Amino acid sequence: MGVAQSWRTQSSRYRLAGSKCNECKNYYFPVTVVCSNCESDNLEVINFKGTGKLVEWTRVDEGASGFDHVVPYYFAIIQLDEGVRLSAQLVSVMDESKITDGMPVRMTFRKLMESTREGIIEYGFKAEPVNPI
Amino acid sequence: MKQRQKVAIIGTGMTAFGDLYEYEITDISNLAIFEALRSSKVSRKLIESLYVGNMGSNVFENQENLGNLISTYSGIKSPSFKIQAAEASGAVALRTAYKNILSESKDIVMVLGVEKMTETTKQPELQHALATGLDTMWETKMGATMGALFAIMAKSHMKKYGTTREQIAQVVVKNHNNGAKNPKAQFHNKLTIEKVMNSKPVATPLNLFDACAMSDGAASVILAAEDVAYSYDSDPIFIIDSKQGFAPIALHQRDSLTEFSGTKFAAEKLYKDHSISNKDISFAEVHDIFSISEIIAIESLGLVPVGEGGKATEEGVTSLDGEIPINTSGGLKARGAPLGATGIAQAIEVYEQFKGSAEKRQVKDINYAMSHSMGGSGGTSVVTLYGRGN
Amino acid sequence: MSVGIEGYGVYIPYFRITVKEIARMWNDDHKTISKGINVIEKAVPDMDEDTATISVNAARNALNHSGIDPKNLEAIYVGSESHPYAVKPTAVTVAEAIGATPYMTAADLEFACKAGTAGMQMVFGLVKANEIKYGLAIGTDCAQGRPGDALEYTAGAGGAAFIIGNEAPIATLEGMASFTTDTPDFWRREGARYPSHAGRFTGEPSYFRHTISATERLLNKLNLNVEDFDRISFHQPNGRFPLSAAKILNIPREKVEDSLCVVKVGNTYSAASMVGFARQLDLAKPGERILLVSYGSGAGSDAFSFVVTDEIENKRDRAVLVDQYISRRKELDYAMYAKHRGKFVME
Ligand SMILES: [Zn+2]
Repeated sequence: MGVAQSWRTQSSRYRLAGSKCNECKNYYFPVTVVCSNCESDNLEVINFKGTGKLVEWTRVDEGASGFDHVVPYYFAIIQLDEGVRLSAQLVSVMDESKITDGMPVRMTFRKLMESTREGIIEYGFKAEPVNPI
Repeated sequence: MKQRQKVAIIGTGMTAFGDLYEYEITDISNLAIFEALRSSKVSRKLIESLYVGNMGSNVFENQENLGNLISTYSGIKSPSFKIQAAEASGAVALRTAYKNILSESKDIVMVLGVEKMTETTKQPELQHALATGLDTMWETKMGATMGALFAIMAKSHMKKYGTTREQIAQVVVKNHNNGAKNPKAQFHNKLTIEKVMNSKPVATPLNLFDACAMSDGAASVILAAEDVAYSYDSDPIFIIDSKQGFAPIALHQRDSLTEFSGTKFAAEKLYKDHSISNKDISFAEVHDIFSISEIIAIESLGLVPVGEGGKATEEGVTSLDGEIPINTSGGLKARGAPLGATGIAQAIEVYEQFKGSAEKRQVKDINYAMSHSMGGSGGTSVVTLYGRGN
Repeated sequence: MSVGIEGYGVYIPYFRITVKEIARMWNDDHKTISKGINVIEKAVPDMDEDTATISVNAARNALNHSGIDPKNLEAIYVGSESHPYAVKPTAVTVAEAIGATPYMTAADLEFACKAGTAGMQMVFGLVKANEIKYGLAIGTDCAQGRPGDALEYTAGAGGAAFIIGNEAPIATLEGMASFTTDTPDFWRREGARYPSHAGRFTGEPSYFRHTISATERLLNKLNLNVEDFDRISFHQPNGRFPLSAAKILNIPREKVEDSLCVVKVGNTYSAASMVGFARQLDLAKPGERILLVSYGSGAGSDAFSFVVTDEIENKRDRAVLVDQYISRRKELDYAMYAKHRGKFVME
């Protein structure tokens, strides 16, 4: 990720900034400049609360570059309370057998991936169980 | 002059798929291109356009402007350009060529699908290259791999429809059985359900043998307008139609984790526009980039009832001697999956089946055939319908 | 209302390595060591955690607890000896992540294990001077100990965040005092991977002299006696030093014991005395007086006296207790611990 890209996506990675269409009331994650539903550009930036539920997950044993040394890790699709879905790693799992569908999760703050020793560090959201498991 | 309806395949050429370490990307392209020219007896001067389907020359070889590169080394000096739609690059290139002929701007064109993946030797780098077809910021950065996304679809499908892990593994077993009968396939070994399930874990519940292997390869077809085709082939095989369907790029943005909505859209439109049904399809080549992908694809294509893809596979419905043989070539799994070449390789398998030259994997009494290719985790879908002249 | 703590929060990673497991690696007798340092295990960050992520998560807990709008935070200071960057502040990442930017000031602080309380002093000063309404002071570390060194048994990870203001404090500040000298008991040169320390020199002329002198200075300043305090949190480089300091000051050990998170999470460096203070606040009742004394090598101590207010009960249900983080644990063996802490040469 380039420095400018890292910088401009910060609000969505750090604070779950998204967009709400003031015309059709659709929510978007991340921030967008046009509503793909009603084509309106009357959108407002909102921060999602960061709580939601686990839709589906998998334990990744074969990671891509930047993730290859941290396997296994859990990758999940999360549905936020506002209704929007996103992809996130699932962390703070002490016992994999206790992960359940629909489990309440909240967003925590982590490094997204291993970075080189000299580049910028990419931070962002990852999900964790609301009730420790 | 009546509106053109169909486009014929009048020539095919394909390299064996696998570790082609001794060849450059231009070499394997030439092997496929010149075989297609020879088989069609079309002079290369008559090629009016060259469409190159390729996913990752930028990532794998640091090479772009691929159309120009391949034109230069093959001597096909027509307009040429690369078409990129991740793993569906070849199929989108084929569809674009088909559409260009229908619009009567061209009479004879060439489509090449090519991928040289073995410059990458490390698994994480391969995973990274494949993941460029996903939403790199909001999926890949969050830890998604192709394996992870298809694993999530597999888990959902298992929960929703009771599909078993064994049924998913059976896709691989069947495709390796077919691949063993295909001289150009990358893998000729047979597998068992146990071997698939005991291979190295990739993303639960999927294992290494559920996934396609890295592969080099090129495949080329020459297409001609219906009115031109008969000068080259008295019994031409036609592309009757090719539809492209859309789904959001990120899996999390889709309404369903257990269907390919773009595939479903394209297939339904094909059936409707040509007043045919799934019963008219004699066999199909589908995008089995992961085992589970074939199960979901045959459901979304309407070839088996929704939720019964696993059961149909287990019961042999999709085997070579079943009601609707799927991936007679061995599919991406066994024939090999040089990404951009796969869509063209599918068309060549269909062509060979129609021509009766598929030897030990020959399907009998062919009416219509279908090929299906996808980019990414299913955001881009292309479904193509083939048949004979009246 | 006078200036005080508006809300606080901690964050402690959930991985642990036991003293027993580290002793196994280095052929030490874990019973003797554990008894000597009064530590059973220590917290280890996940592979994707560092001082910035721990600070953000602690700060979010503090924000929830305080109930204030992050836009009202006008100063953020992060004290640590393990900032992720040599140049580029941790505090700005915290500020962005919690939504406090841009009309605010921020800086990273470094003073071994007392950089966090140095930040508290600065925020108290700004609020008292009516320059800002609210400020946030954080102490966080992901401490590194040289493999095989005595420090490896205690070098833990954790963070504590305190929001300071004068609207509805749960504990008001009575006063603060410091004691600072140039005492070279522990250091890390620029570019060095692990810190060095002066063995037993870290005790008498360093930890004890500064901790006790700062405490006595504060007592004199406020005209208080040690008996006036109900709860105490000293810096806790191990589980033994704070108890010895209490003994020297004639403080019954019960007043210190509740603060001793070090036994189960190790020495969290800049966070250590603040996490101990947070646990005391978790347990405190209105009207109680709490003494907080940090110690940072090099060396200095900051002492604070707080009086708990009725407001603590109003905010109680929004607090994430220190014990919730202490009880959340997953053990690592030494090999996984070494991987987590980046001790393998990978490139
Ligand atoms: Zn709208």
